[in-house]
Amino acid sequence: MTFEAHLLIPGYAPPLAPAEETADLRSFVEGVNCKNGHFNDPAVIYCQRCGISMAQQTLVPHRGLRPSLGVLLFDDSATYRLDADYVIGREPRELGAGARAIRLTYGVGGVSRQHVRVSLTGWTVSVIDLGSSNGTWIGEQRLEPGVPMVVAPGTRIEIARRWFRYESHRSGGR
Amino acid sequence: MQGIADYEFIKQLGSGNHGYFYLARRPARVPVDVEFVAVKVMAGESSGTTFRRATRELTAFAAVRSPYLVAPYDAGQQDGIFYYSMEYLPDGSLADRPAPPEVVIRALIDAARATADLHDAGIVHRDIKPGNILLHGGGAKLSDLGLAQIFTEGVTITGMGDIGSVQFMDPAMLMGESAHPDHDVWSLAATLHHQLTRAGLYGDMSGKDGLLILRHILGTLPCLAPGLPTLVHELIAECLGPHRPTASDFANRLAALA
Repeated sequence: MTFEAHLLIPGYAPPLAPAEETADLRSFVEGVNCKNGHFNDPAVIYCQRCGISMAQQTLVPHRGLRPSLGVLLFDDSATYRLDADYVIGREPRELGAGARAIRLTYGVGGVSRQHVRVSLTGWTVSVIDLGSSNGTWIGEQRLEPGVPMVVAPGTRIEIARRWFRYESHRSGGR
Repeated sequence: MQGIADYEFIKQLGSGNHGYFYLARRPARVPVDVEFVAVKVMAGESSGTTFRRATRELTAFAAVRSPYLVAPYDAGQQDGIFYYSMEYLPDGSLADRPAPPEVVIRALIDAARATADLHDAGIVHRDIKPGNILLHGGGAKLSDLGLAQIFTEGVTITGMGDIGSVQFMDPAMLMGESAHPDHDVWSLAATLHHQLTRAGLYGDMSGKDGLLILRHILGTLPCLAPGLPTLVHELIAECLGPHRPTASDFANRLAALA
């Protein structure tokens, strides 16, 4: 029976290693600031952070780090922050470049190893089927493999017997 | 589970976001003068990277000298499963049974002091809720740093444990904001509100499934139950708003009322 263990008790604990940042997968996008300095999609009227109206304001577009565009909400109520791309499937590891992996662990009959990618472009969210055997479905529509489909908040995406939704409090366009 | 590493489990104590708690006998290797310890076993695979990051966060947490924090003792992994052990407090948590208001307020003062000590050390707890406030010696200690995002990057709710506890999480965090001390203050206020009124900020959610609860929370503004003393009501309302007191202010203002 082998295991690895470190004492955490001050005086016994090993010295604190330097923080190991995970790869920052956030991208720069063009956006505008509300009066309170929150960075927003130029197409929205109300600040998505504080709700202040930006309608009467002169907006100066500039590049900034894209905030989370909402969450992916799964059928088992697991949620993931949409500030990076995700690859979803049974064994999504190998396709991890530039994206985080969501490995589904149960109810995965019919789910491909790398089934679907959720991708952020500018201020929009799209879904790309990765050539899965049983397809990625939005309602009655099966997505064409490899072709991104832009999804609106509230959209439910089905992969075999599992599903997830893109949820966001983002309101409509200007 | 019978045990992990050199810990021998006596019984399961409960489950939390992203893991299970067990009562165990202290292995001789761990130099503290207690017979029993609590062990949290994390769900999800532990790799070299997650092990290093989780151990680092726990070491930083353990280094915060605060009488109001549950002391972590030891972290490790075996067969890709991560665990850590900590001080065992037999009186249970605020979530176990209803407590009279004076007990709740004492416990929340201590939890807020613990939170302030963490914030001073640059640490955000991320998972303050009744189940993580352990009653102890007339007051309380804050337990169980939120580590879920280390094991699954980007996750805000793991879908494990009691989904109802999501009502104690600042919705800004649910919607993807990265961790900030203000989120902990929100959680302290939501916990205080729940323990004093026995009502959630989003109304009654019993019987709803996880998804409905989440949609409800994301689509509803938090609302305080009637009947709270004015000063408590004001404090909680402020902690939910855009200009929040610090955790330390929260503790002091509650202490002034007690």
